[in-house]
Amino acid sequence: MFVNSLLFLYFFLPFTLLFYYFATEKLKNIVLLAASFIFYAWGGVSYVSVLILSTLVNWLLGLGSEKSKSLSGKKYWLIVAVLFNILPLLIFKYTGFFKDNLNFLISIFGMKPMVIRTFALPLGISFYSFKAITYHVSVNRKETAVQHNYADLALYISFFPSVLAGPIDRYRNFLPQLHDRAPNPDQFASGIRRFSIGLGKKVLIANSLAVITDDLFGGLASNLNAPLAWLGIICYSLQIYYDFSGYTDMAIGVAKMFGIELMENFNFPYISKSIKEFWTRWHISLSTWLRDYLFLPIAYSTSRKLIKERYFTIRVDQIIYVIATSVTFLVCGFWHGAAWNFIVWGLIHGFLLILEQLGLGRLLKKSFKPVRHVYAIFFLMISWVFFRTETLVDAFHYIGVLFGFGGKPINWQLVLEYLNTGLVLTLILAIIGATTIFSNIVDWFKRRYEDKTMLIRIFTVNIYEVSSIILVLAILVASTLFMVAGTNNPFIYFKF
Amino acid sequence: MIKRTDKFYQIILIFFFSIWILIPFLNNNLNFYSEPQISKTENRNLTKRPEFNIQLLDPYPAAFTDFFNDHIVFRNLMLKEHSNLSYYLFKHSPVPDQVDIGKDGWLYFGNNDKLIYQGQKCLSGDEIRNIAKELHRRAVYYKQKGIHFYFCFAPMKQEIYPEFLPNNYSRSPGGTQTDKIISVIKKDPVIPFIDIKSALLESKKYGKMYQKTDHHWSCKAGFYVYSAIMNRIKIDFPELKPLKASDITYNQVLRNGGTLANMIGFDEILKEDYYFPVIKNAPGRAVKKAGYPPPYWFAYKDEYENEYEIPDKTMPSLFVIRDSFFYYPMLFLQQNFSRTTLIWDAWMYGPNLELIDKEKPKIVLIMVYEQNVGSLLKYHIY
Repeated sequence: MFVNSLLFLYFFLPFTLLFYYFATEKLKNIVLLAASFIFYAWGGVSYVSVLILSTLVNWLLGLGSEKSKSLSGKKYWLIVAVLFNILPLLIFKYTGFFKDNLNFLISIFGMKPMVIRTFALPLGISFYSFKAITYHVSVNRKETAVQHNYADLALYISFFPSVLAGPIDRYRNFLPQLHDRAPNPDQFASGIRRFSIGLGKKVLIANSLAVITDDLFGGLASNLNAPLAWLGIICYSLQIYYDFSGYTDMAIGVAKMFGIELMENFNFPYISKSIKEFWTRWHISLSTWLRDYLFLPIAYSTSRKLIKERYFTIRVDQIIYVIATSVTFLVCGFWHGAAWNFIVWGLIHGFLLILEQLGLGRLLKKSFKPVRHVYAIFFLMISWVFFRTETLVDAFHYIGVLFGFGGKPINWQLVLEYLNTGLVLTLILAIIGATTIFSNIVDWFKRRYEDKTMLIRIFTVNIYEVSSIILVLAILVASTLFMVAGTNNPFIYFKF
Repeated sequence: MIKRTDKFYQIILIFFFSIWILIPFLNNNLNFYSEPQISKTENRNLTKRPEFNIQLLDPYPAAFTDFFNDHIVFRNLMLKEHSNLSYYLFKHSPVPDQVDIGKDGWLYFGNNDKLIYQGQKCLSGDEIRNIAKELHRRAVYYKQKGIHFYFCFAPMKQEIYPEFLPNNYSRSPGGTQTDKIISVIKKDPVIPFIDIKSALLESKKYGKMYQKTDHHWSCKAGFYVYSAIMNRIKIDFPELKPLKASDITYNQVLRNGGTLANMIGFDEILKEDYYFPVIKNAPGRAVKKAGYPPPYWFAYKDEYENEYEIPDKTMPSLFVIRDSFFYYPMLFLQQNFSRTTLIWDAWMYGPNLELIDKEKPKIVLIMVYEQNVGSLLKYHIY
């Protein structure tokens, strides 16, 4: 089930809320856990057993590590736990990738392709595996104690708002909320607002842009001309942001309705002035996860091996940064998808981060602000081409067309054909929404709450609150209209 | 004071949100609003509630989701409002996968028509050769029985009126699958192919060949299609006396928009002129149906078979395997043959050997809407 579906909004959510708020304190987590398993089962009943097994074994591994007294013993349990979570990810997500590449290699030597069974990917496995690893690392680093209650650990790993697409919340953040939460009207209302904004971002903006990107990326790049290709990548850059951040907003909003605060995942990434800044604003729960559990351990272990101050005139800290960043972004790319495109996407980001660290960053800091924005947005858009296309060849063709190579002659009439009123309005809203303008307006209103003049205080609070209620309800109505339209399945002839 | 006001509005928001998300549940129990079980614009029955079977859990979520989506309260109303918003405000099709909005109010069938026209969907070389082989086998088989066989395509609207397509909608530069099939069957002298597309392109100067809001051709086009068919058949049957354009007058009727207007929910708004023929001295009369059993899944059972006869029994008899495109041509063809039997076999375009053995026609004609040509791959006549 997806949080942006009619079934979730008008069936699953109201009933889960009803059961939750009518349940006794002791049963509230059980209600949430049962709801999480049902929510997950909706995407594949068979695969819910994989999730239940995963939570169960992770719980037992945690208990096992507690029994071990020595540090090396605990380290052993951690390695087993990490392997236990990584292996299913490798099997389910990457078997097909390795099989295809292996078969390609052996076909060069004229050998017959190997028959290796591939598996359907359980939904959200990339997210819940990382959450489980977070738990074990957290226990190993003594940030938290071992969880003795299976239901509590299972709820952390499979909590329905974040099980499919994050945020990859830290166990140490989630743990205190497991038994000490008291939802209040403020938090609930804030959850409604956040959920509605996310729903609007996903259903009204991302899905509308998807129609254009599907069309422009769906055929051969050689059928496009440069302006159309740029329109396609602009739409996709906005689509992926609104899609993902919209989903995150919905997850955070729903969690708030149950009194749980999940971590933030996006902070206006497209206002970044460098790739480094981008990664502090984009998919924050993943970037900080990779920083804490991959980059820093690699950097630390490498620094222990490199004892000189310089190697080949290069400072050792820069070498360490290059190694740790390359590995981290290789993993980051591969985590996003089992294809060379994603690996190249990750490596582009890693390469740009290294360049910024080695000097480009200093140069950028001295540059005019708009130039820094253009630099960041330009390379982000180019890298998104690898994210959206099916193969590396398609990506290079598309990039060629962006710069006038291999496409059709420029025909502005074709571009205007796509730019109907709907798309123009969506693009304007999407671009403004990707900046801090709306957020600044909200802040302005909130500051007036503290105004010395009582009349201004009363006036702004009423204006703001009434318009926010109207906006939330309007987004809900409009999103429902578009979600219902998504179920429209007309046939030209009667189909009984 | 501010905090109290703030809290008051939080409660109001929670109240409205709770009511809003509970509306479908409340309607289920109080039934304050109900909608028909057949969606008129979608041309389908709404999904029924699936039975819960603990032994077979995997398909249940998808089936229940379909049921829930189909029965959500105010669905038809919301679909209509979404169509209005898309068409009038956003200026794009409410169902972009299914219907494309062209210039000057011309609508085009998306889906397979679009993919075939743009070359994104194309039968393989083997499939094209297999279709040609099947047509060859049918021609040979009918010839052995003393039957003349003719084959033609009903072209897609895009082929006849590309000038009203959106600018970003271009024909496959390498030709469509239909072009490739025609180039193969034209090389086979056993298959007499009738080129309807050329006839319609030639006749565009005489009037509108396709309805603006329908994927079908117009009644006037029906006459030119008829003429193209008769011109070819007359070579083998010179005794036939085809109707002339001067034998026909047309009544103009303003009616609800056609199939495509219906799919976007605007059939009552996008009204269009339709022309219905009045034929001078029309001898063709519908006769009692033979009662051949239609396929059980075919929605238009009454249309499965139609038979017409004229008093002049010296004329040859005709057996047509057709689809909905033949509606207008059949109004004219029934006037020329001693007996005209028309079979609409649910877009299967099968050999219908049993029916042909019973009817014993002199002529068999197959007309296939070009997007459905893949159906011929299912057959191997002998």
